[in-house]
Amino acid sequence: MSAVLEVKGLTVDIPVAAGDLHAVRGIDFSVEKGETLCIVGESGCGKSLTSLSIMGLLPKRAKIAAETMEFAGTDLLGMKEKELASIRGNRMAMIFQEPMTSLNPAYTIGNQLMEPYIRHKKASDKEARERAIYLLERVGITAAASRLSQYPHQLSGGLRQRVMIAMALMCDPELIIADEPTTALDVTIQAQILHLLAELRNEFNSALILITHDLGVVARVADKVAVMYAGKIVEAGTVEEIFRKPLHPYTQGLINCIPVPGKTARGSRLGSIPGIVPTLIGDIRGCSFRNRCAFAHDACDTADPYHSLAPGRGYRCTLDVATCEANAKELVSA
Amino acid sequence: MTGATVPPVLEMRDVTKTFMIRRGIFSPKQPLHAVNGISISINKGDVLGLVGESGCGKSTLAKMLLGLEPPTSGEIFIDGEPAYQGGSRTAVARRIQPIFQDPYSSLNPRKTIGSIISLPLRVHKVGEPSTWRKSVEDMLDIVGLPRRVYDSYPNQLSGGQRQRVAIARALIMKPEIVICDEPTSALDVSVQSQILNLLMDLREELGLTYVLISHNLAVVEHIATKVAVMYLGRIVEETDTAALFEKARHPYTEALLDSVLTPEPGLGVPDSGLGIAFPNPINPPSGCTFHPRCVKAFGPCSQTKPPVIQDADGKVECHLYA
Repeated sequence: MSAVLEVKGLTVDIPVAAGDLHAVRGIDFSVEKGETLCIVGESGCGKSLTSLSIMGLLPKRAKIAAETMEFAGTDLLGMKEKELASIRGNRMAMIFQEPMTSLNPAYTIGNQLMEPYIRHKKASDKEARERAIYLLERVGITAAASRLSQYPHQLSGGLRQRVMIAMALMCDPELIIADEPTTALDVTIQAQILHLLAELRNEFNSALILITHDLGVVARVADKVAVMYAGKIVEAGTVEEIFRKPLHPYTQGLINCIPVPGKTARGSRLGSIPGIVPTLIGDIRGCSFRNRCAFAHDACDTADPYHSLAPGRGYRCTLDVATCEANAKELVSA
Repeated sequence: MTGATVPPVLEMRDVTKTFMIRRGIFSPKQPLHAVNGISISINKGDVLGLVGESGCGKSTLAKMLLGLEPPTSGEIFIDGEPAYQGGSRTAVARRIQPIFQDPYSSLNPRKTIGSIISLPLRVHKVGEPSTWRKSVEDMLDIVGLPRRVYDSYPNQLSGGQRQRVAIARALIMKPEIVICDEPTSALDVSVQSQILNLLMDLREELGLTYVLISHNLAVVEHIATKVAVMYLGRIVEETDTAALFEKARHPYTEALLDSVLTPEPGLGVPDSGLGIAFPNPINPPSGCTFHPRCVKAFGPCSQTKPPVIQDADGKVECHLYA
């Protein structure tokens, strides 16, 4: 099956006063129809810039390059702005983190929902209205017809996020990118929204890229996972592989940081990753995780080789597989 | 707790807070019961986890504990003495301090770290000004920050370091009680665990009592000794952490626990069965305010207010156990 989105060697540089900030440093990933890819990482690892570069929404001064960046077989980078605009919001759509700031406060919900449908599908007002009501009902909003004339400030956070999801689905996109779609929400609403996303993904057979820092979310919804650190993918694999046999020390550290009810002894010390993310300005050599890594040694100063173990499975580290697996075992049994 | 020789360090007796809200320009004001009759007591060294959805009144409760909002009725006691009587909150502020959620907005960007941490000392005129720098540096050691950040500004620090500054500012007055309002939710995963470890260490070293407000139940389970679940201004269940996570009694607590996404692949996204409609607090449902969302609702739930059941397992407010 051909991938809906295929990215190889994506780099994003942002010129700042001190030089170029290498925000994304050569990442590869792909996602297929009906599949969910989770990109995990902490703030500043480049995960949001990755999603913006797919959507063609990077700030003008950012420099983007890639060997391959194909959406359903067409090159996204070579595309003119006009062509891109005809795909964006139509064949690929984005759900942003903050429904408070990403909905326009001056337009009604109905207006904002119907606009992309009228524009991309050349639909009449009536058709767009029917579609909007249908989708609002699908995302679990009651009295959908009367919501159309409401403004964003009249809705609660959970409702606004549902509206964002409905808006992304208006044109039946092949690819949905959701950037921290549930971070601002209550746990009860979070579960419902994720439930809904998974259900809709199955129903519309779209590809879903979910960007998050919440490992609980990743474990429950992902098919494939890419762990990002300092602009690079440090580990990739299926969700089972990442959680049951994490190979990269960073992935292992992350999993060790979170208390799991019923498993982590109450009141015990949690694992932590000392230190902070290095600056990504100027020349960067070797592994960027080495200053926080418990297993760092001399080789890490100059190299961070990627070990590809199987299609879609691999990690970036100077340690060999056997050593990493042994570390993982220790972690799981601890 | 009757007959105990040591009074609880913090106690609320039937505290309510009612806001008068005007919904339109010409409509009359209507009461909104943000906190609706809460009684709770916390012993020294306890960590009380306060959980509930947004709008349940947990932040209003925290504001009343800090003396930032006067209760409409009811009383708050610290060490058995009524707090906030006579309108002055300075005396109490020495004993209760807050740590807020977002270290990016809770620190003044134009003040140095030293001046931020020493502000409580200046406000309360504690000791000689010449000793303040020493106190701040000691505090920096305690929260694990290098002394050189004394002259730095908040924007020069990372999120985790800023939250350490916020903790240092809260602890400089040597309070007995610290109100932590979502202390880690604005931080990255690897930093969250550092801050939680620090909070647990400080509690032990300094004998602190925490009120931990969080929607992250995994965090609450990990560090709280006692949990109170709030729904629409009421505490619907209150018990020891172990008991709550082993056998939740209130259907709302069960639903909250079901919604926790633990990092275990293959389990899928849980369906709590709650539905989306958090009720309008101005016009709360009749009887038990939770009944429209409750999967176990039956006859009396929509008719009469549920009784408060207090037994060996704690406190629960539900018709199921009547």
